[in-house]
Amino acid sequence: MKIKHRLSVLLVPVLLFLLISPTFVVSGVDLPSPTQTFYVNDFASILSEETEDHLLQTNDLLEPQTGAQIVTVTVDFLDGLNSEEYAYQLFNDWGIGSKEENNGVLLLLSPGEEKYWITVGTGLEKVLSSGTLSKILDENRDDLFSQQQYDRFVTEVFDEIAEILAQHYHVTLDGDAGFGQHENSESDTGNFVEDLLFWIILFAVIGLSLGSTVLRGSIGRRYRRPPYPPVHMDRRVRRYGPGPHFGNFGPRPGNFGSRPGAGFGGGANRPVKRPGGGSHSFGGGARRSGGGGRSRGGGAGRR
Amino acid sequence: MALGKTIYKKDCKVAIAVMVLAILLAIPLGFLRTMYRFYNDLEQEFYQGAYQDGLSIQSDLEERMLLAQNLVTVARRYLDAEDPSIAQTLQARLDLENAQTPSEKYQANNRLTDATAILYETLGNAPLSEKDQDYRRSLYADLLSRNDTISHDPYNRLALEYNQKLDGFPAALLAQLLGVPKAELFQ
Repeated sequence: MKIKHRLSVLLVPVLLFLLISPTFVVSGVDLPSPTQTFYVNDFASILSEETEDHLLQTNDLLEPQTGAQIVTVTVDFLDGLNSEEYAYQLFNDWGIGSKEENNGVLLLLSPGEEKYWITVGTGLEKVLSSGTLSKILDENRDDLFSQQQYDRFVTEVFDEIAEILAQHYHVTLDGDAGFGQHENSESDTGNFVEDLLFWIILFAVIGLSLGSTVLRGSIGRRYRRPPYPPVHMDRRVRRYGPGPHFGNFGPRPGNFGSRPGAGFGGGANRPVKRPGGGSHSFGGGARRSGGGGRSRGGGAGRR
Repeated sequence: MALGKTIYKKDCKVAIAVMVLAILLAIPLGFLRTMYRFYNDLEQEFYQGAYQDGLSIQSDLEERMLLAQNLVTVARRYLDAEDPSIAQTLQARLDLENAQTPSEKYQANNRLTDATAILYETLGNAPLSEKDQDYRRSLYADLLSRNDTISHDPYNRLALEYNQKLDGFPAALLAQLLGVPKAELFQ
């Protein structure tokens, strides 16, 4: 009995050691974890809020339609690796892009080491070959990086990549994300006015309906208001309705007319920060994550 | 009764002998089967990729041969046909095409890397049109990129694991007796 007790006492530390021993394995490189937004990870704090918003919004249009993710990461230093190796490890650690299509893109910047690199998932090796990427990262763009014009560098490179992906998947990045419809883009001012008009009418209808109910209660059926014309509410509701690409819908503060091409009644592109499906939760700062894509490395940039 | 006992004892001895023989045969047969399967998987990995999707060291080498040929095509518009950088690239490409084993392919690929680097630099001094400048840069970027993807391929790691299994006892002895080959690394 004593021996059994001693043995069992010994077992505890052994088991504990076995449980925690994997933590002693040194990974070699201290890779950062993605931020909550996932698409933009400005650890080196070199990007403006406008740039970050632009990257987020475009990804929110692109991913629901294609599963592709264009992730931007800035880090001060590369932990002793060259930019290609760092990008390769980071890409596969985060699982950028969808698992089925392997269509992720990683744009990595390291201002501290004056390096940058773009690497893609295996599904995009032909679409965004290193040759194509090196054309995108031409001398002019390289100069932007050298001059520390990071916002412009990232925006131009990102937009060109997004455009190539949109063409490849035959989708547009300025319209109905969930239904793949193509609408003519409108000016931002026009969108703002139309969106504002919609909400004014909606609240007016709700307010008046409530008011009439109260009035009817107090003065009977003497007053009967004419039916209000069905405005674009129905179409809008339908578009906001349950669908594969949208989660919760509803007005987001400060979201009026923020997207070019969001026409009145074309409101399907309004909840663009709410990607649907997959491993993603809904917008408004909710956590996004990689889709499990993988990369074999390679790409283009400053090694 | 005594005769029955004798026959029984003799049968037991035979049965035991057969069982021991079966066990002794099973060990090398089992070993051969396992190592053959491992070796086969290694070969598949080299030619078909870790995910059997055709993205492998071999596919990257073939891509590099094609890219090198295209670079030569551009070079021929501006350089003399007998230019050493062109001849070197074509020879290296041919060597890679004819290479059979991973080690031979590795050496040939290295020569191709060197040759295309020289060709790329030589072309940089030629008065290329804007289109050909684009070709020159993008072809070379693709050439380098294929070497990157080759460097990340798990083939060498798997080949090392396979060889380590053959180094232990009694695997090393059995491997020698049965002629089980070691895997060649791509290096």
